[in-house]
Amino acid sequence: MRRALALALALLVLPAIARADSLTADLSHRLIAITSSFTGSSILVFGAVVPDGPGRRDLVVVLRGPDQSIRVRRKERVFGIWVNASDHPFVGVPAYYAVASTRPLSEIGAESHFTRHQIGLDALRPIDRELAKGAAPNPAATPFRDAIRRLKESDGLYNPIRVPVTFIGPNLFRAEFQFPSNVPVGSYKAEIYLFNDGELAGANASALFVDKTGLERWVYKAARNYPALYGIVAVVIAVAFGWGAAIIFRRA
Amino acid sequence: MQIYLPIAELSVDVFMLLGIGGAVGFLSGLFGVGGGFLITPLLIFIGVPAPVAVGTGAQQVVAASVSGFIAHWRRGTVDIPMGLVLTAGGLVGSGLGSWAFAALRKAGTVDVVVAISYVVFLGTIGGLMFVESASALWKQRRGTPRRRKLHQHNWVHGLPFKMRFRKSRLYISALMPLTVGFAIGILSAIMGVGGGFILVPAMIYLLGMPTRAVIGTSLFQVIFVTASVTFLQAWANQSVDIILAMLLLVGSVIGAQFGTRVSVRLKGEQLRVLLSLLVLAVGLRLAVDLLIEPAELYSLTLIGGRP
Repeated sequence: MRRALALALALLVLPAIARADSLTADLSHRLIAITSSFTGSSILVFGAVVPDGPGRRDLVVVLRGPDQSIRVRRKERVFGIWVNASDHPFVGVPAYYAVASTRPLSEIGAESHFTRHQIGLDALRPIDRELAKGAAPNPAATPFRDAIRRLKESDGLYNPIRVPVTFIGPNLFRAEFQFPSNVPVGSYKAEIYLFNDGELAGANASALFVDKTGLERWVYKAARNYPALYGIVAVVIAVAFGWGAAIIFRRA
Repeated sequence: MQIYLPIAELSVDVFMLLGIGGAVGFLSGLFGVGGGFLITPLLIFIGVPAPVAVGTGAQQVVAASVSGFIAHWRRGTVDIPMGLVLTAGGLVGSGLGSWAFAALRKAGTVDVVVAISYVVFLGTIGGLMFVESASALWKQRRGTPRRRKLHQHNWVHGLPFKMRFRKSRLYISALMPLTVGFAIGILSAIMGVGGGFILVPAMIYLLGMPTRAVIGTSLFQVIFVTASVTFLQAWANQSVDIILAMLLLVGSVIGAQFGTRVSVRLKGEQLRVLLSLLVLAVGLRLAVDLLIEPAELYSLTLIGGRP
C-alpha cells in the first residue's frame, strides 16, 4: 500500500520535474498460464523512451510478486539435538522479486532513490510484524530477515544476478525475466523507472497475473473450495486404485 | 517428461514419481508397513512442501495398503476380527493423540518430542527385533530344533473379554489388541505416521501373532488410519495433491503386488530381519539429522496458509 502510494506520488510529481521525457512500456504476456506441462516461463518487458534534453538515461525494471506474510524458523541445538527453536514473523514479503537495469544500481544514482522505491534486493527489507504493530525494533530479527532473501534466492524466486535492460537502437528497450516452475500464483507488477543523470525522470507500471488453467486450476480450486468433498474423493481414488491393481494382478 | 503439480506448485519428472511409488509400494506389500515414513521424506527431498508431502503421502499409502491387503486376503492371511479390534483402539488413540499434539504445539515442545520419540522408538524396536530374528535365523541354520510353542502363558491370559482369533491362532482378551491399537493410535497422531512400523513388531511380540498373519492384518488397520489422515489433511490444510498421488499410486500399487509375492515366499524370521534393518536404518538417519548441524538453519512458512 505504502509502495503503491509512493509510486502514485512519483507519477504525479514527475511531470513537474522532467516534463519532456516520454516513457511507454508493456509486457509480452498479461497472463502466465500454468498448465500441466508448465516448467517455468519467461516474460518480456519492453517499451520506448523518447528523451528530451541532455543527460544519460538509465532504466530499472522491477518485477514483483504478491506480498506474503512469512514466519521464519531457526533450528537451534537443544539438549544436543537440532530442532526448530525460535521464529520471527514478517509481513509484506514479495513472493517473487527480480530487478533488471541498464547498469549496476550503484552506478545509476543515489542509494536513497532505490531505498525509497524498494528497488533492488538490498533495498528490499521485509517488515518485522512486531515492528509493524508498533513494537520497538528488534535487532534479533536481522538474521531471520537475511534468511528470507537467502532462501528465496536458492528457490529461484529472487534473482541474485542482475538481469540486463538492453537498448535496441536509440529508443526501444527490452528486459527478459525468468519464472521458475515453482512461481507462486497471484497478481504481479512490473515497475519501470527512468533515470536521467541519476535523477528519477519517469515511471510506469503494468499488472501481470500468474494463474493455473485447465485441469490444474480445476483441481486447485476444488481443493480450496470444497475441502471435505476433495478429501473424500482423494480417499475413494486411492481405494479404487489399490483395488484395481489387485484385480489386474490376479488375472495376470 | 515433466508435469506440473497443482497443489505442490512445482514441476517434476513423471518417471521419478513412478519409481518412488514403486519402491515404496514394494516395501509396503513386503512388510505390511504403510511406507509413510519413506514416502514423506522422499517427497520433501524432491522439493514438495512438507504439508503436501504428509497429506499426499497418506493418500498413496491408502492405495498401496488396499492393494497389499487384498492380495493378502486372497491368501487367507488376514485376521479380520483382530484388525477390527486394533482399528477401534487406533481411532480412539489417534483422537487423543491429536489432542496431545495440539497441547504440545501450544507448549512449543512438539518438535523435540516428535524427534526424540521417533529415534527412541525406531531404535528400540529395530534393535530388539534384529536381535530376536537374527538369533532365530542363526539357530535354524545350525539345525537346532525350533521350539513350536505358540506363545507364553502369563497374567494377560487371565484378562476378561476373551476372544478367539482363528487366523492368528490366539485365544486372548480383546483388551490386549485394543490397548495395542490405542497406544499406536496416540503415537501415530503425534508422530504423523500410519504406525505400521510400530504395529507390526507389537503384533508379533506383544500379541504373539504369527508373522504371516501380521502383515495382512496390519495393512487392514493402516488403511483406516491413513484414510482418516488423508481426509483430515485435505479438509483442514488443503494439502493433498491428487495429481501427485495418482502418479505415485500407479507405481506403488504395482510395487505392492510384487512385495506381497516376495513376502509369502520368505520365512517369518527372514522378513523380521529385513524389517528390523530397515527400521534401524531410518532411525539412524533421523538420529544423524538431529545430531549433525544442518547446512541451513532457517526455514520459511507462510502465515495463514500453506507454504
